[in-house]
Amino acid sequence: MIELKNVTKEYGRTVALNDFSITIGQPGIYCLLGRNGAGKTTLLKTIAGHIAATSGAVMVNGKAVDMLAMPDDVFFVETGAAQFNIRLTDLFSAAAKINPAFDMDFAREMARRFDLDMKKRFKQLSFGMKAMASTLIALSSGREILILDEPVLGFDPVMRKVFYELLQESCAVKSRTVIVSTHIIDEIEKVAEQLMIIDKGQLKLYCDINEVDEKAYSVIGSAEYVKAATEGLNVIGETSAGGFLSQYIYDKRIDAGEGYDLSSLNLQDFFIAIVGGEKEALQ
Amino acid sequence: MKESVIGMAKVNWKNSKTAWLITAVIFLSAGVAYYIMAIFIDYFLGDVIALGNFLYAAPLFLAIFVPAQNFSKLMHLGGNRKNFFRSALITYVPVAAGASLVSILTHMILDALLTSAGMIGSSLDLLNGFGFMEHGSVVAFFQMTVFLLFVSCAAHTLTLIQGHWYGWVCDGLIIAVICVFTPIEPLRGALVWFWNMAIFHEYAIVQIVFCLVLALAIYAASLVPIKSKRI
Amino acid sequence: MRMSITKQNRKDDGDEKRMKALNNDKPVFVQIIEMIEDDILSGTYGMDDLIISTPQISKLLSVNPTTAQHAISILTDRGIIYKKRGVGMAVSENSREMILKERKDVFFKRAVPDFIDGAKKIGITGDELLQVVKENLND
Repeated sequence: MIELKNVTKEYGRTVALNDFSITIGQPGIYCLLGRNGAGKTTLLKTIAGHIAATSGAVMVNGKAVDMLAMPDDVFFVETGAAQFNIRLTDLFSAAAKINPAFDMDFAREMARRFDLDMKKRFKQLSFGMKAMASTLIALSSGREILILDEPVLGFDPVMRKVFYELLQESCAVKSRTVIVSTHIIDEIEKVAEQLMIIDKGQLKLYCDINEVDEKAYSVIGSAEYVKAATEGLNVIGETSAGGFLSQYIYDKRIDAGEGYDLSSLNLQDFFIAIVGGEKEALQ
Repeated sequence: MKESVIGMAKVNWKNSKTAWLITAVIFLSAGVAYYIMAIFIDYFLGDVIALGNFLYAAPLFLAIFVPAQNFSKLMHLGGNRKNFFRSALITYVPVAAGASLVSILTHMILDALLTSAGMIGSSLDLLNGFGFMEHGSVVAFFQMTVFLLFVSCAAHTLTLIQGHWYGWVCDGLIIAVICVFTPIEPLRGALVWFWNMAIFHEYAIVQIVFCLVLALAIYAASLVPIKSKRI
Repeated sequence: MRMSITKQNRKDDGDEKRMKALNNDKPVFVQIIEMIEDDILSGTYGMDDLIISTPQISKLLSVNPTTAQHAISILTDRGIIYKKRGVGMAVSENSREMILKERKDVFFKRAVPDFIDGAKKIGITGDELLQVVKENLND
């Protein structure tokens, strides 16, 4: 269980997290979306105790987190993390020494599935394979909470597919919480159970991913009909061209009617509507 | 938790190649080479610096490279700062003791044999220079171990505070002490007292306790830079 | 005979199938529910037959497992399928009737009024409408 209460993190004048509060209780795969500079990495590093919040409280499993008391239950994988430049076999056994619950059989099996050459030294690996090695160490660590900051950056499409399968499998085997930040939305959409959208250091949305499937849609048609149909609904964005209007809704579904069509919003379009600021641009 | 701390120390020993390499290079190129020349080339008159003394580089460089190079990598393998603080000391102690033990053994066996065989002249040895051997080899072992531990802890903390304002202050102070204290008579007295306590004291137990307390105090201070150290 | 989407033997053509199977008009879970209902109505699944599992749905249609689970739990709540211990989800005894009743409800309450409304808007009279329906039925 991760709890953040009114967490603010400032870097000089820049506010990376602004009075941020969230509770992450249920185990499962959490997807963290946000634009570059929205505060994703700051949020993840704060939970892991890599950095300290300027103000506010961070708790993991009831224990306060600070830079010295980094949570024992959390394994955080930073993008481009540097590792000892030794053969992967040795790197994995080093990880096993530091993580008493390390599952070496699982790690070896996964390395085999990803064609990770265990005889190679860390620096001999490509960027994607380095990220894979670090991610495998996290997945095998036996920790309850895994935090992966843009793990698929540098993965080829095949690696990404296998990675997501692996993520699901490892969560099925052991009940755990995995938080994944990524920009490849259409892929995480098929795996994640919970969704967090962060924008300008604040939590914009935190919900079950099925709520987006159920409640996110667009209403397209001539402006007057669309406006009449969506009255009273939560309009999160809109675009217009000529007399036509397309409004993005995050609310209960309405029935199709005269003068407008309905269409589901996939997560990517939904995300863009939420943080893209198209509505603001029109005003 | 405990396993993780000892695990980190093990990983440190295995992955401090730079420290081991520097020690090995110094040991071979200076120590061993000196002995060979002394034995085979008469020109050197046979005086050597004791072989074991070159091993003292190991605890020193280990305490520089563990915080400088290993820290982030240990964190990326799932370590945490508090356990790093605990594990670094565990990393240094056996290495200081090991260097001390081997240097005493070479002093008592190798150097004694070579000297009595007339192959080398006298060997200049810190163990003699510091007066540790006067207390017997067992006590000398403990005296050298705690002294090396003090060196390790000082190197460890000094490495960690570099880049912080208090690091610069500390560097400045050390330079100031060396430059200012040495030439000025009453202040030199303080330095003499310090080195007497840390090395030359006639009672070995005083030297051991002094080094141990000082080492641990300096080591404890490293908690401050470790807490804010970037991963 | 129409092809079943949720019951088929071919593997590894999920993406190709998805193109045909899912559209953007409705939420994904609703479409999954409708697919399974269609297969029950068409007789692809008989009473007590095991239906496609959640992971299979997720793989086949390339959708999120929780979305598939969402669809299955709604079908379970409605009593159309039930949990067969240790085996999976099976079709309930009177699922066909339940689905038919619901579909008829929708037809009479929504499709028919919409149809009549549409006709009225373009000036088709009641008699003309009846005539058209009769002609189409005889085809």
